[in-house]
This record gives sequence, structure tokens and C-alpha cells, in this order.
Amino acid sequence: MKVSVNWLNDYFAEPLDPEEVADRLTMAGLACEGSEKHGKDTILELETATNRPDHLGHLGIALEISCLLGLEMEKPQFDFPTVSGVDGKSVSDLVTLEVVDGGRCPRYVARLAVDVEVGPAPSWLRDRLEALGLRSVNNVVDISNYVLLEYGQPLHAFDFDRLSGGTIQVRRATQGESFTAINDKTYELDLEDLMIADASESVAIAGIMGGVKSEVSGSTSRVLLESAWFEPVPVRTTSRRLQLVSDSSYRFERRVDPENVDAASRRFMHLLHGICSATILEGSCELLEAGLLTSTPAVVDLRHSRLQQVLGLVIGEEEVDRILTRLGFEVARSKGGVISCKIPSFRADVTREIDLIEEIARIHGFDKIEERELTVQSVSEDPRRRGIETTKTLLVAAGYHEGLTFSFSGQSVHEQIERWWNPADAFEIRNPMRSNEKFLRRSLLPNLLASVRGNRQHGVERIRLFEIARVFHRRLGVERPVERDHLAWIATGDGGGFRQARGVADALFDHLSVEGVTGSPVAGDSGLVAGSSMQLDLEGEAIGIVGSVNVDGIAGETWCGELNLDRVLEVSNTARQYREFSRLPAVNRDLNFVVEDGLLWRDLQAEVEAVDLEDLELIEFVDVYRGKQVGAGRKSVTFSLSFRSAERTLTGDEVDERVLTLVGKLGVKFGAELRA
Amino acid sequence: MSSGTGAPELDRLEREALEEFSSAEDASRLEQIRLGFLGKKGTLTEVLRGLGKLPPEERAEVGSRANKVKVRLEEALEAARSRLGSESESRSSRDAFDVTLPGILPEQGSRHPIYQVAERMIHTFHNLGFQVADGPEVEDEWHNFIGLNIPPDHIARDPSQNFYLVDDLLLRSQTSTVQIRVMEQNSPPLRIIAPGKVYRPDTVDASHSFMFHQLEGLMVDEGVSFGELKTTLLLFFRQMFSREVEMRLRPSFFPFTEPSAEVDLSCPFCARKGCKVCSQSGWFEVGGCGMVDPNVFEAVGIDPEKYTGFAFGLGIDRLTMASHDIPDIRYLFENDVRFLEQFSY
Repeated sequence: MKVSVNWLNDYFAEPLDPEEVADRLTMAGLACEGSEKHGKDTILELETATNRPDHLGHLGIALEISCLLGLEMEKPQFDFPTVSGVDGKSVSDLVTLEVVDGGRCPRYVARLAVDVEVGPAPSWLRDRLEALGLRSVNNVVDISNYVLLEYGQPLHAFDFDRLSGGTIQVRRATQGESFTAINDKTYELDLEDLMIADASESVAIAGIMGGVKSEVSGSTSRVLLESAWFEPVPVRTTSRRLQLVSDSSYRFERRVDPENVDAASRRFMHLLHGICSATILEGSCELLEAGLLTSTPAVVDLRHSRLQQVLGLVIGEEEVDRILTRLGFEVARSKGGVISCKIPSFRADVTREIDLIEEIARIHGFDKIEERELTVQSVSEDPRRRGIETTKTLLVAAGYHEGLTFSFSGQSVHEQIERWWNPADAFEIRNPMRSNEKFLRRSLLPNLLASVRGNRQHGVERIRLFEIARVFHRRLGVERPVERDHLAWIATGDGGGFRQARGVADALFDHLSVEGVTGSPVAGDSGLVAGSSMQLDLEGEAIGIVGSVNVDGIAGETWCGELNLDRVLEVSNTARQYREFSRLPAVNRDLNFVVEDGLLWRDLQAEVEAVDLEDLELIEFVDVYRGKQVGAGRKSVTFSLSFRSAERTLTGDEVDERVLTLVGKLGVKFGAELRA
Repeated sequence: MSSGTGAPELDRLEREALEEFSSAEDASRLEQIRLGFLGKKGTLTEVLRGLGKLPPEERAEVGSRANKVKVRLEEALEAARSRLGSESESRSSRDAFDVTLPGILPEQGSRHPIYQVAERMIHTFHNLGFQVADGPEVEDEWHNFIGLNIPPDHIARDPSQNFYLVDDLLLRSQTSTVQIRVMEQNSPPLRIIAPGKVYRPDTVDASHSFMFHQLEGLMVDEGVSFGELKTTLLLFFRQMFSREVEMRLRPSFFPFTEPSAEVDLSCPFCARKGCKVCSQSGWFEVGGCGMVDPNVFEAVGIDPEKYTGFAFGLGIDRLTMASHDIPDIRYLFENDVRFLEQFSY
């Protein structure tokens, strides 16, 4: 809402200081977002709250200022001389007012002026409107806009001679009706839209915009002024649907002050009389469905003790009374520190004690509320959060950069990765921002892989990225998505490889003390390259994948992995206990076996463990070799065994004996031959 | 394998070795001598290896003696090495070894700047006694609107302002949802924060994204007033920026708090002089706050007469952009490695 400081000065004995006004209003909840000079005037751009329609006129702002600065305020004049009738006919003889839909329009006031001299507006009026960004039309229309900006009450001036039958009818639009408004656009209406009509057709979309037919022009001499109160929600519904927002609809949909309907109409006639030498007919044609408007102001009680409880501040009774009275509340004190406040008609937002407390706090000033001492409270660290911290620290130390991608996904070439994680359909968003972001993601990898592509397009060759974020899975019989935190990582460029990618998972399990995770060739199609991808299982449940993936348009291999991090953290136990270790020397033996090419290291290792050699401390994979010396269909696997006793130093001979046992067992089990 | 390992043999071995070490004329000769005694097949090593085969009563004595000899030999070796090193080695390598070559850096990744800032915020609130709480990103209307006192005709509930999945499920548009969840399941006193992602279908530009991050805070107890709210925020900002900051609370309107305020900071980057971060105003808007509305307490079954509380929501992305002078929010979601690696730690 734009406000003219010169205009505000009309209501006060002394001119206001624009800077002080801007500052005080800002700190009372009417943020001043900018000010600009307009000649000798200063225009303030105020951010008004949606629940404060009383701030949508200069009078409302002036009331706020009078309270903040403790200034007396002068009300505008709205008296004017009248004639009882024209040619012996009174207003009610000349005007027929029918409100068919009183529920939507509980208050309507029509006043009539004759011998109106329509012409350009006087310069002071034009200046005020133009300073606030309104275009001057003619004196009559300008006056109605002026009153709108003063009272916040929209008005509509009709050329009375163009209203057929001298009739104003408030009714719904008819099926299939269309209407051309003064902006020269034609709108298709429906049965929900409220219209103003004359005896033959619609002349305005109620509360939103008038039509061309009855607008005031140079040839107008009789003016019928509409001042009404329309139900806010239907005005908004119609305005939205027609995509037609006006100064009028903006105010009606926020609920104008019902008490201003008549006052604004009188103010208009006061100005019309002065500016257009108009003759005003006595009285008005009006309708009031009092039951639909809160005609008797509500009373809300405020306990002084509660004020202190909420604000943590003692405010004196006089100050409380002063603030409330200045803001327009009628205050009556009773014993026991209870204040009864009669709520003025323009403050429909105040219905509860807390609303009054807010008013007092806001005017008194939040800056006056003092700091207090906070009691100390200890916080226990959430092990899950700590696990995530450990995970991030590990990934960062391994050279990975943390990425952040959107939670959405589309049908990409990596759809299969999502399906592997959750074969049920993804949850779909009704109004996606982009067509390739229609779904909630089931896997983090597709978006992370898109980031790899983006980096490559920017010329970055070596990429290490990870992300920890939610995925959304559909489970049978559950309406909501099951949300879990996943960890995904990708590596492309120098130094990447399957074992490096898998190493990330292994290191994580080690850091988080997660035991019992097994790796095996991936079951089904995971969307990763078949034959070089594995799945990780824990207690019979797949908790992750690691492998290589083909990324569109990227040469060279990309390695990636994804884990159900929530599941990993559930079984993580990072409480560390010291384990006694032997201080005696170890005896190491490197062994080199030739085995069938298809034999998995996992199975070979399991068998070595199963043999259960005495004092065997460690089995470490060293190398695998395929080639002519080994023969087709076979490979040579080197691993290292480390033996150590807690009690004594082992001799080479006794270790060699144990190794011989192993050689025999592996020979029998896998046909493994020890190479020299 | 030599087995003559009595004390005299060890003495002799020691004497010989010491003599040879001290008379070695260059480093390669010294190394040969070392291998002869201390190498894998060196004479002293053989003695030590053979200990296991001695009868137990001899083992301890010989073992202890052999170990002492070993220590003395290693000392003598070091002495010989430094004698030779100072004479020749350093002289010969001084020209060949360029110590001004750049170091080879260990590989170093980075944390996302948004999560770095979020972690700092969490840490700071931990110090003030606030526990982290969590909630789902897909929410129902009860937790996202109704419980928060947002009426059905409120603009925030317009389907076009939210990402709906089905009629009653949408991506949360604010972290305030976690307030409701926490208060439904716990009784006061409560002190929680809830950082996380929120979603609104805003048109993307330099300062808007349809996914962003908020940190919600809630404190409920008997006697919690606006004074405690103000104190908490001030303590937080002082710690977060490690210095005195001026904060102002500007009255505002939110359905779930009353009184409500916008939280402005004296711009931490220009000390209120005006800069591009604060668009020359000297004030920097970081979030909203207020006293929990009695309707919210009633919705979750907490007695608003007995308990009072405050809530606040701070924009993590905004604080991140300001902290690092990042001009465009979109950079935060592009994952360009050259952007991310600037924030390594």
C-alpha cells in the first residue's frame, strides 16, 4: 500500500516527519519497504498484513500513527447540503434497489447526485492520485478513487441515465453470461459470480469491476453512487478465476469495515458537491441484512496478568488503556485486573485475548522487552545424527564432495535403479515444476548422475560426489511414502574403480561398527552394468548396491554406490571397547593358488575361515592374475595370512604345518593348486 | 640355523658388530654390515629366532640378553649413520633434492555449504539446550495446516501454492509441521529444533528455489515469555557470528504464533552501513518468530493457560548465501565441483 505523507498531514495539526513515520510504522508491523520523493510529498511503500484491511486506506494508517506518536487526529468532513427531490421525486422514487442475493451483499447504500459537472479533476486531486500511481480519469471517477484510498472502502459511480429502469439489482450471473468490463476485456461468468445489474443486463462484476455501458463520461449529469459490503471469499473466488484483480477486489476480499459503507458514501458526496457543483438528493436507497454483519461490536476480556505472562514484561494500566483506546477499542476496567474491550467494526481480526496482547505489545514496542535468563538444559546427542556426521566425515576425508540434488525424479535412463530399490510405482506430484520432476525419488543416484553429466559439460573430468537425503518408497497397504535416508556416492575420472567404490561402503561399515554385511553379485537388474555390480545384504535384506554405471554421453567408467543409511545406522554400534592385543611378533605367509575362474573371493575366504587354523589373525586379498601361465578358465589368486599367538612367539615351522593343512583343504574343496 | 647361543657368543657378536659399525667407511658398506647382523638372515636375528627352540629355563635369560645386544647395536648403527650422513650424504643430495617442490596434497572433499551452516546452527542451539527433532517431508494437511491454525481459505493452502500428491498429502511447505508432531507426542517442558527441507512451487530465480531449507525452533514450558524468545535468538546469533549483533523483531502476522515478528539482524557483513547483501538497508531478514498461538496448543492438547511457548523459523539457505556471499541460490543446487570445493573443510 502506497501512502502519501502530505495526505496524512491532513489529519494532524503539525506536519509529520516522514522518516520517523516510516520507522515507527515499520516497528509496529507496517514495514516500510521504500520511500520516494514526489515533488514536496514523500510516498511510503508499506507492507500491510492480510488480516489488516483497515490499513488499506490513509485514515487507517493515520489512526495507527496517532496511537504511535500520541497525536490527536482530525476526522475528514463528510457533510453536504441536500435537496429533498428532483421534480418532486425522492431518491427512493427514482432508484429501485433489489438485492436478490443478500447473503453475498448484506449492506448496500445507493446515493444520487444530479447536475454533476463532469470534467477534469482539480490539480490537487490529480496530484494525489498520480503520486500514488493512479491514473486520473475525470473528476467523478477520481473522487471515488480518492475515497477508496482514504477510507479503504471501494465505491462505484454509475451514469444513472444509463441504468435502465433506474434499477440496481444485486444477483448471480446467469449461465453462459459474458461481460465486458471497463478494461475492455470480456469475461465468461458462471453461476457463482455476483453481479450488479440494471433492469435489463449486468453493469458490474460486484466488488471487482464495472462495465463500459454505465461508466461516468463527459455526457453524464446524474450519478448513482454504490457503496456496499460484499462477502470476502466469493469476491476472491471470482477474482482468482477471472484473473482480474482490482483495487476494489483487493479490499473486498480482505473484508472492508461495514461501518465505513455509509461514511465513505457521504464523504464522496461531500467532495462531489465541492468539486463538481453537484446537487445531492437527500437520503439514500439502502439495504442492511444486519444479521449477517456483526452490527453490535463483540467484547473481549483481557487479563492484565496474562499480558505479563505472555510478554514477560510489566506494562502499566494507563499505558494499556491509552494504547487500546487510541486504536479504537472501548475499554472498561473491572476488579481483578480484567479489562473489557469493545472491538470496533474495522478490527474483525481481534477476537481473542491474545489478539489484544499482540496489539499492546506491538504498539508498546518489542524493543522494550528485555532479555531474561535462560535455564540451562543438557542435550543428549542423537546417535543417528552422530552416525550421519561420521559418514560425512569419512566421505569428505576420502575426497568426496557433498552434493545436494532435488527430491524429485522423472522417467530417466536410470529408472531401473529406482525400480531396483522400490519396484512399486513412484509417488506422483500433481503440479510438478518441470515435466522431468514429476515423481518423488526412490533412489539418489539418478540425480547425482545428472550432476556428473553437468560437471562433465562444464569441463570437470575428475568427479567425486556424495549425497545423504530422503528417498520415498511405496509399501503395500501404506498410504504415505516410507521415507528413509540414503547415502549415495559416485566417482569418475582418475583413481576410480569398483574396489574403490566398494571400499567406501566397507570403510563406512568399519567406522560405524556394522557387522554381518555380505556382498554378492547383484540379483536382478539394478540398472548398473551387469557383471560389475554387487548388492550388499544385511540379515537377508538388500541394503545397498555398488557398481559401474553407464552415463549418457560420458566416456570412461563411472562407479557408484548407494546404501540404505537408515538401516545401516540402526545396526551401528559405535560404543568402543578396548580389546587386548598380542605384543608378540606375527608370522606372515603369502599364498598363491590357481583356481577356477568363476570362484568368488567371498567363497574362498569363507572356506579359509571355515578351516579355522590356529592363531590365524588376518586373511588379506593381495592380487588376482589371469594369463597363459595359469591356463584358460583359471586364475591365480594371491592372499596373505598372518598368524599370531597371544601366548608365545610362533615358529615358522609350526605355521608352515598349518598352511599345509589349508592347502590340502582348498585342494579338495575347490581343486585349488598352490603355485610355487 | 646357528644354535651356539650362549652368553659368550653374544658378547663376541656384540664386540664384532660395534667395531665394524664404527669403522665403516661409507653408507653402502654400513648397510652390508647391518644386514650381516640385524638383517632378516643376520646373525643376531638368527639368535633371536632360535630362542623358541631353547629349553624354557635358558630361554628367558638368553632372550633378555640378546634383546639388550640388539638395542645397543641399533644405537651404534644410528651413530654410524649420522657420522657418515653428515660427511657425505647430505653433500651429495643437496643439489639433487629440491625442497621447494609443491607438496602432494592428501585427497580432500568438502561438505555442502548449506549443511555446514545447518550444522553450525544445530551446534549452537545444542548449547542452548535445544534437541534436534525430525519429521517426514511428506505431510498431511493436519500437520502442515490445520494443527498450525491455518484456516481453509488461507492463501498458503491454495493447491497451487503447494506440492500435493493426493488430497490429504503434500510435501511440507514449512518445518513448523515438526512442532505439531513433537507436541502431539511429548509433554512440556520442550526445547527442540527441526532443520530440514521444505517445498513450495515458487518460480525459480536468484533468490527462490522450489526446495529450500528451514530450521524450526520451539520452546514450551510454564513461564516462557516473549522475553525468553528474544533472549534465545540473541544468544544464538551472538554465538553463530561470534560477536555482538543487533537484532530487531518487527511485528508481523503468522497464523501459528501471536504476537508474531519478523527477525532482522544488523547486517553481519557491513555492520549496518548498507551493502549488497542487505540491499543497502543495513538489516538482514533471517526468519520469523512468535509466541505459540493458543489455538495451536489446543490442537495438540496442551493447556494454553498453564503453558506458554515460542516458535521460530530461520532460513538456512539465506544464511548460507549471506555467510559466503553467494549471489544466486541456484548455485547451491548445481553440484558443480568447482563450486563445492571452495567450501572444503
